[in-house]
Amino acid sequence: MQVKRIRIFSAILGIFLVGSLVWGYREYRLEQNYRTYLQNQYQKSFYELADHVGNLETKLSKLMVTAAPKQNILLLNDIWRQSNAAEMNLGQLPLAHLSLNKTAQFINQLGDFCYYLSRNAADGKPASRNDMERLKKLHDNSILLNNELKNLVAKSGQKDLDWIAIRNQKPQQVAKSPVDARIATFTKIEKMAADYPSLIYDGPFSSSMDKIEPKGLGTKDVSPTEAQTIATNFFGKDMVRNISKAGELNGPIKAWGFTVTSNNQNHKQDIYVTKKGGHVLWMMEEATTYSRKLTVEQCAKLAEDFLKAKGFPDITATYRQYYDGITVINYADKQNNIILYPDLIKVKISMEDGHIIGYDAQNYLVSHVVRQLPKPKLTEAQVRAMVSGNLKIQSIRLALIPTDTRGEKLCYECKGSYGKDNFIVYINAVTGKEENILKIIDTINGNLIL
Amino acid sequence: MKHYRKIIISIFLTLVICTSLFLTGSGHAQTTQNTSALYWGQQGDKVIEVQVKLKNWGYYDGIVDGIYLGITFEAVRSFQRKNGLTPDGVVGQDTSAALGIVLDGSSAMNSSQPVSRGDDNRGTIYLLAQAVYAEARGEPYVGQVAVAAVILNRVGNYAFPNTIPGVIFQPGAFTAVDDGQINLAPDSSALSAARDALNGWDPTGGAIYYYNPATSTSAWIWSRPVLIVIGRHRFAT
Repeated sequence: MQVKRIRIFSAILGIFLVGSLVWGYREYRLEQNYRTYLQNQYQKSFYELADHVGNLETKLSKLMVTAAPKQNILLLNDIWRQSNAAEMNLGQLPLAHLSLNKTAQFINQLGDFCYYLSRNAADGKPASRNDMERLKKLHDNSILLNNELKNLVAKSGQKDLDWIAIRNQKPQQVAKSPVDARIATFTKIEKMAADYPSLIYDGPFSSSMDKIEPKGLGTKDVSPTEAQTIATNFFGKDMVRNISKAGELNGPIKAWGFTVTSNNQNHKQDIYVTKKGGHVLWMMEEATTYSRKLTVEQCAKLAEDFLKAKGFPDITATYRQYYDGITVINYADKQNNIILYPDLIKVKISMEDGHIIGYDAQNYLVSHVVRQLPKPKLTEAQVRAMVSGNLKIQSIRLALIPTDTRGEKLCYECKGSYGKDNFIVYINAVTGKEENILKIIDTINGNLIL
Repeated sequence: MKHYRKIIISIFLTLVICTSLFLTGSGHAQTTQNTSALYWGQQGDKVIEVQVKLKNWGYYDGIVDGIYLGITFEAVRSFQRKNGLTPDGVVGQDTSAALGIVLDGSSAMNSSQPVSRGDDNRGTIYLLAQAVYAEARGEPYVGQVAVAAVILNRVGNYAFPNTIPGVIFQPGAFTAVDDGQINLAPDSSALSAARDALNGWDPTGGAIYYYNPATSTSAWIWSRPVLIVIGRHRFAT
């Protein structure tokens, strides 16, 4: 009897054993499959990166030679396109441990600078001598980068870089005992890039965008205790159950932080007050969703009254959204009836009881000054005639708009429709140039107020 | 007798191990066909139907407005949890069957609604919210907005990829993306935080890094100047 039982058990055991071996083998094959696919993806990004950098170097060298501005524009645009692609590929490689920030900076600024030059060329402004010198430097640097990458490609011809192993390395090991010595090339590239000069030009990736100089703060220094009083008064003394100091903000605008418990349902709020000037920088409530008891119009009125009471008499609503029991409104300041978009304040209001749940004056405090605005050289009638014959104009007014590079331009803001779509066209009030076109998309619960 | 018992025990153990291996091995992710599912950000008559049903059953206490946003999303998830469905906030085949509504093959958009053509940023909000949920759920709301703001700040920075998906999916950039948590459905807090960040809210003043000092493994990131501390994260530049 016993022997028979043992035989049955052994048979069942044997089946399960074989079964798990089969399963194990299946899993192994599947893993190999994924591994191969991933390695292939990384290889593609690597080879494409080397390709694009090679093209960049070639196109830059052609720029040194060509004199024809039309040819220039084509080359410059192509460089911009290739650098975008190179940037994408670089961002796909598993080299986060090496922090290739400077390399990325070089590629991005190169493309962005060429785009800025091509925009100038389209406006009829040829490249200055300074620009040509900078292009030459960029070209020299791209030769170095290209050489390193081409060498790496050649070396990987004998044995592929094992991207999976590179990816799986722990950050601490990478420095001391890298799994593949050839990735030291990337470290070398990064070191070279650190020596490239900073590029400053009129573009969003310019190094001059690193430093933000806030203009609207004032000079008065404010102590933490004074700041606490200012924070309490923001809500109203009787709304604050508890307020305590909570850290500091060390950004371009420095500020004291406080946490507040409100008398209104014990809401928890964070608020930051600037060290210079004692302005409320931002405030945010620990959000839950809110029930919808008030209308958007009622909330808008409450927010506007709130801002006017806080010392922004000319503030005007420009955009609003509402969702989940919250209304969000963007406000811009006005000077002489001209809307100043850079001086932006954002407010969030609860539709449950109309209390302020969010406030952001960072843009306002960075940009706000009393401005010497230029006199418009075009009249409204002229602008109306200029705007594309297809646009059915609904309203025109003057507005100051921010540019990509923190400049400001005085424009005529023309709102109109074409078919079923709504557009806003900005025409420079001094030069007559079309500065920007915005399409209004009627998203869920968002509409533009003009 | 003792000898017999030893064999039984060892065979049982082996059986248990093998069976558990089989069970964990099987079920490689099945993809379901979501030809006409309802998900966050849509609007229309079908959404109204869902809201009415959920309101009657006590899951939904918001306004029946045909717009599928945070409150509706959470209500759908409660419903799914109570009924043993995957709580992903998407009204697909199973959820709509449980609700008792028919999703036809056509889009959920009501044709009498204002035309919403071109791209809206619904997909962007959702992806950003997934990243926020993966990286910062459990953090204070300000901290979640801050994490979303860091992602957007990186997009505008010359040292990082220039698109939101590029920044989020950069290998090695975010641990919760690398380990797959990015695929979890976000909650309404993360959705709200993503929306705020896309509207320009940035409590950090321009940070492009953040780390949790208790769990960070990179010595390099400690050298970055800290702008602000929110919750468990230090935000740096």
